[in-house]
Amino acid sequence: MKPEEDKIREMLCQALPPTNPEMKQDLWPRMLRRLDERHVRMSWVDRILLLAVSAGVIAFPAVIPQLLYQL
Amino acid sequence: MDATAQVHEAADLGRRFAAGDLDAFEMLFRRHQAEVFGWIVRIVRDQALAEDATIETFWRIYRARARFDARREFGAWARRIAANVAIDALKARPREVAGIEQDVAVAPGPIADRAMNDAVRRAFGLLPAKLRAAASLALIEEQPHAEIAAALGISVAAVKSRVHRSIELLRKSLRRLQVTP
Repeated sequence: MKPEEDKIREMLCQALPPTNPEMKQDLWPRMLRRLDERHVRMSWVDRILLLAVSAGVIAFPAVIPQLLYQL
Repeated sequence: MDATAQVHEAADLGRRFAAGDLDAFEMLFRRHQAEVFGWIVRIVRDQALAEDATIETFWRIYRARARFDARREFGAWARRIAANVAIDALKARPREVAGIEQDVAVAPGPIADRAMNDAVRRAFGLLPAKLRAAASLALIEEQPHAEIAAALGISVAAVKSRVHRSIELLRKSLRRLQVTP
């Protein structure tokens, strides 16, 4: 098994040489943009929930006082 | 700065980060981004994908800041999250192209060698993400098994098992592609 394992390792290293682990650029500016996005990003669950509540309020306006009371 | 002062400084930084201090997060980001990137690129083997995954890693770290224990080493925690993000990134790519579309210059040489290298890359790309991560780190990048185990959150024995299974699957795939090791 061992010689075959060594052979496969050798073939892998020949086909896929080790990567260059050095970074080409500082990623902090991109990180900051990602942090800023979080204020406007809304998941699909939030969107569906918002749509359902809006539709419910439009269809049954009488629930508005109850909703306000719950808040 | 002596070792004790460094430990105190790191713990203080960790506490500030956990409390939501953005300046502390920036310091940790700048201190650890190269290491996190290096770890990820060794798994995903693609510079652009590794940059995206580095951002995703720190985004997950930032979201989980309240759970960070300042007595623990930030780097080890970050490496573990980075390994998960890298494996998720591998899972998100179609298996057959992963491992092939990397920045590898086509080496001049006999056509048979190039065909064999293509077959090896194809076989490697067919490995499941977790096995590909372990094989890449252990067989290609020659990282110590203990470090791989810590980053993947598994035992050294489990790393060895994954590497062994990778070799088995590679051998089978190469046979199917009519390449004999």
